[in-house]
Amino acid sequence: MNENKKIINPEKRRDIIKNILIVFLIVLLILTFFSNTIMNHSLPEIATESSISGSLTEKLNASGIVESNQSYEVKAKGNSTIDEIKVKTGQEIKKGDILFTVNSEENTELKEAETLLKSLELEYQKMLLKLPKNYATENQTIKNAQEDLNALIAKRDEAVSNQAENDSKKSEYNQAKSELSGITSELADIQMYITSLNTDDIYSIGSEYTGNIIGIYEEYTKAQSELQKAESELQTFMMSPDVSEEMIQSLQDKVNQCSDYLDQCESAYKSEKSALHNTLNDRLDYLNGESDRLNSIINNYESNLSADDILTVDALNEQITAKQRELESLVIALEDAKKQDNLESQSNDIDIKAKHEEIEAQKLVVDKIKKKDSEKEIKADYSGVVSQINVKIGDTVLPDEAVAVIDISEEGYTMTVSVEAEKTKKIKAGISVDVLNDWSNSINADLVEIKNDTQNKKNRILKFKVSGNVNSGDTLSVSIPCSTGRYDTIIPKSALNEDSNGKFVLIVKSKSSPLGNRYFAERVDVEVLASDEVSCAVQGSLNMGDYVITTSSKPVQSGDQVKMKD
Amino acid sequence: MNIRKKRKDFLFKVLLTVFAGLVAIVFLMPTVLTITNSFMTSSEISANYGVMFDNISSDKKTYISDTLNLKFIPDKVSFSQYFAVLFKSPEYLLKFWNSVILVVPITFFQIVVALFASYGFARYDGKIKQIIFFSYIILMLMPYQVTLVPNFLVADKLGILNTRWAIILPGIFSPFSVFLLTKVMKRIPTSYIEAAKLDGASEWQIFRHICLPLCKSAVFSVTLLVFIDYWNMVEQPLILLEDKEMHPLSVFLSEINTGDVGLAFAVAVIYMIPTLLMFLYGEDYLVEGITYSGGIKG
Repeated sequence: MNENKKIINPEKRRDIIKNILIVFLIVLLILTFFSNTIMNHSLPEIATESSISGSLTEKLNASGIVESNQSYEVKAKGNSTIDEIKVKTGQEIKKGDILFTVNSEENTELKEAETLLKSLELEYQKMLLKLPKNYATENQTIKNAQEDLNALIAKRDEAVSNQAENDSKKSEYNQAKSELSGITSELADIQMYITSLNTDDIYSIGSEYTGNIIGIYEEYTKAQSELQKAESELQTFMMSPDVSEEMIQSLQDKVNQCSDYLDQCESAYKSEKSALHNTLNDRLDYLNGESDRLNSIINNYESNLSADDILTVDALNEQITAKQRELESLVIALEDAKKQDNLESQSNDIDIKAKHEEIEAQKLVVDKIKKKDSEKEIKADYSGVVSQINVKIGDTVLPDEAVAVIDISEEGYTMTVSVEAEKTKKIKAGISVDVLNDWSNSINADLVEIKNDTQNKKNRILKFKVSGNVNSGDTLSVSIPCSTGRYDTIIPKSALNEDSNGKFVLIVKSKSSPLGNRYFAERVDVEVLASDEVSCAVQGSLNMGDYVITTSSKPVQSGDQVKMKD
Repeated sequence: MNIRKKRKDFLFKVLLTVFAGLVAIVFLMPTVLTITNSFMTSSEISANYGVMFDNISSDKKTYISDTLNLKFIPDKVSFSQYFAVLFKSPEYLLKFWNSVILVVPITFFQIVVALFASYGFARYDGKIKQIIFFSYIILMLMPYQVTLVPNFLVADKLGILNTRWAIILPGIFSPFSVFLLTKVMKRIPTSYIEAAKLDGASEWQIFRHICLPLCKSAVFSVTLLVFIDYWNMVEQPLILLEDKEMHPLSVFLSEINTGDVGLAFAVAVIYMIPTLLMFLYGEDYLVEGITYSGGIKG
């Protein structure tokens, strides 16, 4: 069984392998058959044109925006809302045609103007209400100063007239003051003498009052010392045992005698002291009386004269001078104040006048705004073509806001284009140019002027006069004919490519293979000699009859395989 | 003693197996690498082997990896290479058919010529035969590159240069298969042929009904060897075919550094398939034929 299996298996295996090989080859064959189809599907499809020789009129293409030679802006006269737009862009209009109907709305400008007018009027009235300046206070002060001065002058005059009497009174007063001074001194001495007398200090008493009392007093003191001596002696002897009676008696007697004598001296002294006491008291009384008298004179003088009375005429003169200067300065200050006030008053007058004028001007503004608000239509001031409408229905427009622009058709249209000066060398002014984007063939353009471009010195400006069915703002492309030449290789402009290495064309090279012809793109660098709007004459390794790629379904690079368009 | 010897034998076998395994890994690695890498994306292949191709090719490019990175497992299994080869690149398919167009006639006619030549060498004796056979052996021993210049000159003389005939014609008259088949046919017992002659068989009948069936396995093995030899040829198309459109796929594989690196592995795998299938188909015949021609079998 196993052996059979072994024998059968190699055959089966071979069959399977053979089938696999056949299938593999068939699959590859089918894929090969369809390979070109599949690959071509992914290749970029190109369109080609062959290069030719011939003549080419070089043309310069340029484009610019048409401008009206004159236009004006239609402006709203007041705050309003656009109710209806009566015209369309491009519409021809005549002077006086209604362009917009508007609905005036609450005018904020008017409100503001009125508010300003009110505030100005209020300010004006406030300025008028200002009190005129009076100088009562200053005048009163000057008047007071004048009176003070007059009083001082009177006082000085009086002082001048009473000067002799015042001098005698003053002399008396001065004498009294002098006397009082002596009396006061003496009074003090007398009081001191009395005190000294009372204390038996008689040597302190002035000699004019002592008289005999000093002798009497000395006798008295002498009797006292003798008595003391006798008594002392007696005592001494009495203590001694050897002393006789007689001796003691005799000493006793002596003591007695001394005592009697002392009594006599004491009595004499006392009487003399009493007499002196009386004398001193009398003198004291006299001096006190005299002192009182003088004091009354002085007090009377001093009480009768005030501080001003005491002042001299010179002092009064000085006061008068000061007062006069004060008075003068007050007068000058008053004059200055008056001048200043006068100036201010004049300035105020000017301000008031200006304010009044301002109020008048504001009134005019308010009136003007009110007048503007009352207008319901915006009309065309000139005939022309509406080139621009800046508003929509329902838009709110402000005064002097441009709502539309109208080209004044009578003035015509122009177009200016700035081109490289090098390109303009072959162009002459005065030629008619083709308008490329004029599908209705209703626009005419003439090159009227070639001038230098002041903004870009490398360029020149071409000025065209444009007429026909054209409006301001239209963009026109024009083709300006230059010179005509004959060239060997002319290719479609669409075949021309450019990269960082310069201008080039892609030509088609075919290569035959067992699977058929294959086409490859090949780069050929060229130099453009001349060109018009569709063709260009080139110079390079390009032969007449070479097929150049004009369009392709995908980006093509040199060396890429391509598919020719069916 | 017996156990000891058994152990020794076992150890020897183990060592031999390990060695054989290592050698097998070394030889299998390129094939495995080719198959696994064919499922990688072209960017992954560029990243892994870009440096190698960069060093070979003239146009210096910058690659992600600056070292060669042998990878067996793709980051992301992709059939993009196969898709590109089979659907997007007719030139590779064309080159495959170029290979087929060159190899099939060479193999077929070479076997036909070799069969007749070897029958002649095996059946007839003579001095001229010996000289010719000796010259065949000398030619066979020469490397192909030695005969390439004469081939080029002859092809040029014949006016077939830059045509497929420049490759096919020299291929048809290859000495290798003649030598191999002569050796096989010489081993056919002469009694078989004499018996046939006695039965009235002509030379063609003897060749057709006796020699060919007996040489079947040898013929197949020679066919396979010749097919593989010419399937992988590089020098002949390079020298003799100027037009690259006529080059076989083997040339593309040899010039892979200048082509699409990413497609190389897929193309290699596809290119491998016919040879592999043929080998699997005639595996038994091949072994048999080689052993038969080598004289193992009587």
